[in-house]
Amino acid sequence: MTKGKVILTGNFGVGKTSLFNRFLYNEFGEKYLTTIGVKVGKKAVKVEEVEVTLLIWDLAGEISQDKVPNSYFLESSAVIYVFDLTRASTYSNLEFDLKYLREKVPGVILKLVGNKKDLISESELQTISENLYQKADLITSAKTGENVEDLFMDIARHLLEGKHS
Amino acid sequence: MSFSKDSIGNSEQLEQLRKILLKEDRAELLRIKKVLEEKEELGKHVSPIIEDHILSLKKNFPKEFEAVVDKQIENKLKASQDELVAILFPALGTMINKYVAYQMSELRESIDARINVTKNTGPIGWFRRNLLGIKDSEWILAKSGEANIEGMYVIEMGSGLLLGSASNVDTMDKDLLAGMLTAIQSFAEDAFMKGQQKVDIIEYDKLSIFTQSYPKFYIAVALNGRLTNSDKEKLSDALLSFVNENLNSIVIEKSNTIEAEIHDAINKRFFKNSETKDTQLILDND
Ligand SMILES: Nc1nc2c(ncn2[C@@H]2O[C@H](COP(=O)(O)OP(=O)(O)O)[C@@H](O)[C@H]2O)c(=O)[nH]1
Ligand SMILES: [Mg+2]
Repeated sequence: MTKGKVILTGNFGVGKTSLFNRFLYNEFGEKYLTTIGVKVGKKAVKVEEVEVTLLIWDLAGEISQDKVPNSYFLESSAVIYVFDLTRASTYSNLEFDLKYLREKVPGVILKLVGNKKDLISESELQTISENLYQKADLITSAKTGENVEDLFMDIARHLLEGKHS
Repeated sequence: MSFSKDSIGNSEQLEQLRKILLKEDRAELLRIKKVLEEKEELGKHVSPIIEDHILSLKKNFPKEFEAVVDKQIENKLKASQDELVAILFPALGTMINKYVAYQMSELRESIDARINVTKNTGPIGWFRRNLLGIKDSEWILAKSGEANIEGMYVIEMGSGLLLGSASNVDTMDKDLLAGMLTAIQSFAEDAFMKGQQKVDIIEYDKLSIFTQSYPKFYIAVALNGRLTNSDKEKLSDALLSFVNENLNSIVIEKSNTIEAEIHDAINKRFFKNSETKDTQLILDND
């Protein structure tokens, strides 16, 4: 069976826990219980009849990636870096954070995700996208569920193919 | 000053009374003025009242405001969980550290009272296991009477992915347990800043979980009781010989059936009635 450790990270309030909950329980809720700054969830998905189990670590938001305990990233298969489309401060440090993550977890599947799509217009999205340090892999809404399933399925597929991007 | 209705019969008396009253009023006014003008005097009068008030507040506060305050705190906590985590991060580390230290010392006290029987490794262990049919778990905990092995989990270092397991009870999701344990350990490692103390007992969902690390993986043993130091030593011994004799080769080979292999190996060595145990339990995860 294929298994992978997936880390959800990014600034405080960007919607990591909401994405986590949306994917794991298919609901949009506020339940969030944490003692050590991380919550682990599990989801088994099928990629062309093959089961892939994702163990998803929802990290409590830190302003900067280098403040997250190092060992949380160890041996992870994928890192999802989430930013908030409605708050520029959550994607103004993309360059630093992404470089940091690539260095910290070399060869990891790194997904850049812009969340809270439901709160902005198409033209706003256009403007933000054009000015991003790096093109986002997916634009999601934890509220409507748009692209959330796709995000994790993408990762499961990558894991199965043993392909890294 | 007291007088009856009858006594205010004539006006002269009344006039006198007026004087007296006025005089008393004046005196009272002067007294109040003096009190107000001199802070010290004022303090003498006000302090007892305030103190009384504080006392009564102290006494009645919990009763009267507990619910309100609790609700307030709860709301506040809910609203700022993430910030709280950031604040609690260092404090929590210290707490775990203290807790572990405390537990160590407490266990150390009881260890002297216990007889450390034979080793689990080597020919004696083999003899006991194979000829007498006494499983390691029974052996280790026979003297303890306090702890039972409920489950054993082999977990990949770092990723926290479960490589294989076997357990008596299946109350929790094994993958999640493996993940959470790893998170706790990672957290503790960071919090202790590579300290000398390693967390080897974690309390989780009414179970004590004993962990032992090897280069590529670690083993978590879930126990439904407390371990003494001498139990720990024996368990540690048993795990090491299990790793050397069985587990290492399985993990290194890492075949597609690794979960089942580990499951069987653990059952064979540690659990009674392993024949009747359903391996499906471990393999189907949802
Ligand atoms: N409208 C909208 N709100 C969202 C979305 N995702 C998260 N939120 C809200 O943003 C706030 C922070 O979300 P949370 O998941 O706790 O962020 P985290 O700190 O990254 O875990 C919460 O109030 C969520 O309800 C989204 O896609 N759309
Ligand atoms: Mg969160």
